[in-house]
Amino acid sequence: MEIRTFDQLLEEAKKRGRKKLAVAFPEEVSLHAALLAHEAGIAAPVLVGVPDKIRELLVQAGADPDAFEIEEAGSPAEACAVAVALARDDKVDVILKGGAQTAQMLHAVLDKENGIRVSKVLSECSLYEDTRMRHSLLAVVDGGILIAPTLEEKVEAIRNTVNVYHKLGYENPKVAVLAAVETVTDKMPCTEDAAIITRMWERGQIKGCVVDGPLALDNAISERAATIKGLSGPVGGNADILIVPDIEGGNLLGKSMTYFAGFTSAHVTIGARKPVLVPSRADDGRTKLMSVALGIVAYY
Amino acid sequence: MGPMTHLSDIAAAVKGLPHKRMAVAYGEDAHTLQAVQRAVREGIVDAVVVGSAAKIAEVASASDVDTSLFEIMDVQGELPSVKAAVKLVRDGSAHMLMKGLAHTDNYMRGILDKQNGLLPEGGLLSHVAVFEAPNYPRLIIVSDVAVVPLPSLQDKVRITKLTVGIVHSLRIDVPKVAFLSASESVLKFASSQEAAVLAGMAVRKQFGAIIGEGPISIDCALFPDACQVKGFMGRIQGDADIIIVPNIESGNVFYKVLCRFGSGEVAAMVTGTTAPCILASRGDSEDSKFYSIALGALNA
Repeated sequence: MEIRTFDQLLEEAKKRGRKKLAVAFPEEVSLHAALLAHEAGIAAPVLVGVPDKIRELLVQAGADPDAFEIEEAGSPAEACAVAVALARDDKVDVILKGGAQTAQMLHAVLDKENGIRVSKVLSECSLYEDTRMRHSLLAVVDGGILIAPTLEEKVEAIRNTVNVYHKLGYENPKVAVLAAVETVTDKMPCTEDAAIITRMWERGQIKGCVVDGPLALDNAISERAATIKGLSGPVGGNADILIVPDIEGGNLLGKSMTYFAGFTSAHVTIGARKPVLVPSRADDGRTKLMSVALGIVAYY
Repeated sequence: MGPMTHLSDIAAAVKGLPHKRMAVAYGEDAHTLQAVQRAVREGIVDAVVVGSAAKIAEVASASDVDTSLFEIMDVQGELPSVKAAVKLVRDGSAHMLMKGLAHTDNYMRGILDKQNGLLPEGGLLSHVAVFEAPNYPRLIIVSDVAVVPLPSLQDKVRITKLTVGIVHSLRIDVPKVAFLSASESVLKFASSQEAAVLAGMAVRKQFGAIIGEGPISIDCALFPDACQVKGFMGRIQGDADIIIVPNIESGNVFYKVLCRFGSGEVAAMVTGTTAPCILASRGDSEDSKFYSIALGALNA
């Protein structure tokens, strides 16, 4: 069955049992996420950082300072390295970034000797719970990691995201490669990439999904718009996964859904051996919890 | 009437139309005069041969050509003859141009001349070749095998449009267009990716009513059994009408191999000009010259 709401996602995560969640250098934001996931019964936090400081934060958060596993690390960078090492040794199942820089976290994940990258490319999968139009989970890729993705990076990001959707129960997710128009022109290079990616799908070079592009956003998510424009292609206004041209597009689209449409989101970095979560300070509690749930369901 | 399948169909179609007038640039050689004689005798065109009247008369009598079949415009010298012939076409007193003894460079220079030539401003000069191969069920139309050496993607877009225009005159209403590369997979080199982009444009109907496919190799473009063996499921199944070659080298090799090994016959003309221009060379067979004139007349 396809998971179409975040409540279903959380139920699915619960079925996996409590997963060990390493928090790299916890601060209020990440600790909050970890405690929510603990309360919901999906995670057992492993807090990586300075033990006294962590206990202090737990007390401030109204939690039992001795109830959680703590691994010692003196600095944010060290905490990232420790968290990744725990993941590599299968001692934790999910990594959650705390008070480290995102770059520090990714650096530890990508480290050639000690890192845990498995795909060619790390990409962010952001899910939005569409509670208005189609009552489904819509992915935007990539609004967080790939700044100006090359053709090859876009293809890898699609593969990463399609794997997540398979875990969410979508047998053949529909992927729309977005641009501002649905025609192909060298004046907008992303339309050319979209055409190439679509041919790659036609040739079986991208599997387990359906791809069409270039598509403008309306043709990707509205059957009516797709029909009016004669784009009865394989996606036909029913996209599950939206591949945006660059990080600006992804960021604007994602935040528009959050702020204008009021959709809840969840974010996970895909492409490492374990899910990596990079929460934003502005995330609300539900987003924090659902990101952990997404990480768990996407991998386990 | 269905699509033309033989070069003789072109000649037959022209015979039913009002005669077009052909200006022959520097027609002072036997090959050219014989080709003109045949075309006039078979009712394909009327002709005006530009060059030294004395020389033309001398060559004609030595090679059994009846000068009463065509008009002679007495002009001395190669460049002035080319210029005068081009002018006849520009002024509308001739409908098409044919190269005689003039060097290709000088002939092209006359066509390309900014003030007095036959290329619209900003236009692309290209070339189309129509092949008839023995025991093959269709005409094979190939571009560009002769004029644009290293076509950019934008050039290929224009080459495709020009070729589709010519193909309509062959009563092929919805041509199947193969954007050629070395494989059906989308690979990292330019011809493969450009073919994917062009196919994407075709899917989005940016070339009007055509069925486009690419990247595709020549076997899957022209032979259904190759598609079966390869399991290729594309929009073209060995039934391409038009082959858009990746560059002039591969196109030229295809052209000459087909003529020599495959005993193919060809009709060819320059495209992109305000009137058809025939670019036959001494190496072309008599039939080939005749059919090229017919192709020009059909499109004049």
